[in-house]
Amino acid sequence: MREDELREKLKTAIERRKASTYVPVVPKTQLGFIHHNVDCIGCRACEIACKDKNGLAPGPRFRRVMYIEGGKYPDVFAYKVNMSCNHCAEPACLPTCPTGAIWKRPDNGIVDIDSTLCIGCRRCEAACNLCVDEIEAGRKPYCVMACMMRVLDIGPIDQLAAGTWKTPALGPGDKPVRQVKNMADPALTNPSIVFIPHSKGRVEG
Amino acid sequence: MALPWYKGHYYIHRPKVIEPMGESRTDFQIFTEMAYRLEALDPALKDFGMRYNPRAERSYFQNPDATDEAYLRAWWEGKVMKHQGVEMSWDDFKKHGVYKFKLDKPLVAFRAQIEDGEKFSTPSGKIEILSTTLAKVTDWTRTQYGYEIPYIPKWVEPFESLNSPKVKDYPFHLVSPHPRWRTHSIFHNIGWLRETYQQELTLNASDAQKLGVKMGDIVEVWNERGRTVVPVYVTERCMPGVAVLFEGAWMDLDAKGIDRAGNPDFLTLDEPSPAGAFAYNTVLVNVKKTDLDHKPGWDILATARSFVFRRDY
Repeated sequence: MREDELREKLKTAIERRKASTYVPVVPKTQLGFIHHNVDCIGCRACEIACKDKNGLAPGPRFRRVMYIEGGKYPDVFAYKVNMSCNHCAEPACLPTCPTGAIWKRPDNGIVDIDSTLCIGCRRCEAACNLCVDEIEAGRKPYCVMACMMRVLDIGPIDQLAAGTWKTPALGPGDKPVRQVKNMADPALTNPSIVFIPHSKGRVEG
Repeated sequence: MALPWYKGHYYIHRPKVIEPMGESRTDFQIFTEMAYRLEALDPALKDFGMRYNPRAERSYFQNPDATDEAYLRAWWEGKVMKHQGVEMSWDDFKKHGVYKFKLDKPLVAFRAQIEDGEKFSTPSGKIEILSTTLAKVTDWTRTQYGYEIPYIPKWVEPFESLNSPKVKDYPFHLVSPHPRWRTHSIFHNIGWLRETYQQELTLNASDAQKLGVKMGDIVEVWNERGRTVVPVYVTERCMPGVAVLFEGAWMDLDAKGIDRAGNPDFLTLDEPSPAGAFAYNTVLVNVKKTDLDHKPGWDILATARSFVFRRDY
């Protein structure tokens, strides 16, 4: 029950902060990512494509592929969880920004950073802008285009979550979920990402 | 210009991406320049430079682009378009980046042998499961192999394995797969790729416990041939008794001849397999914790996943 108490405490703390700072933007469409945890081979081409687009030196990675593994030899398992900025419906980074550089786009729900206002204080530590220029040009983000297994894709998050959006990341019989193990409770910030979970990465309930 | 490895049915255009770094030159530039300089030294080699590289100006060593383009265009128009039935022009190909051949019917291996009864290029003219050539050998010392090769495909005892008496001193079977984050040793110095992976030795958790090493500890891997230093990655996903060290890391020798970069070349046997491949996966080694430093390359760019890996137990 201790965990429940903590979670409740965290929730009220977040509610308090939200209430005192801002009303989250409700976008026309909320774009989000879908990632297949099982079929992903962990090649990290998405990470590197992202770094290529954003001109990042070795060090910061806006997108990160986490390798999760466990079990006991010979009964073992492994899967990948791939995340970047999740463009949350209620972004926790936004109200922490001291200069107001972070904003949520009303058209597609992308959480963007105005680099002319950003002072690099790292209070947000969110950076992916979902390649907004690519999206506005009618293309997909670099990380999605670099995925050789087609397990990472982008689309309207409500349709992705419902499994109604046509995407190669979704195989027959796959059901997207909002949470897998090794990830914070999505109720906190309502992130715009869904996963196809590994059987060992499934969260109950 | 490139064909996919190994000789597929399409051409890929590989344009110049960056200017050559430092004083690097292509082989063709170097040999052309040598031809011109030899010609200047020896009058017998009249017009050697021009004969060696007829499309090049004397300044080819400094400015090769126009000449290279002329060779490629001539090859595309004179060979590819003329003899391989390609209709896409060189300029369109450059714009498109890829040319895929259109085949009238699917290419099926050995169609002629199966449908038209053509003979296979074996002594019997058939697919040989039993090699009649190998079966006839009486003196193996007179062959390119030097030792017996079975005339039918079957398991043979590797040079070194866990069946060997050497296991007493070297209890781990080392395998050295192709790394996923470089091509053999190529691209090991690319920062972005190095960031995704640092050289490490993979061990089963029960073996690691016996050796008293934890995830991220620096270990020495050695046998009678050499010694290398590398961080250890402890996992249940490796078979007990097996150690994994990816090939192709750039060596970094210290004064005592110990490789600090974790290159398995220092552990392998200098004996090719009968087909001429490196015996990379039949190596016995021992492992111990060490105080020696691991040097992950010529500069530190990566963090080993063994340092950051998340586990569920």
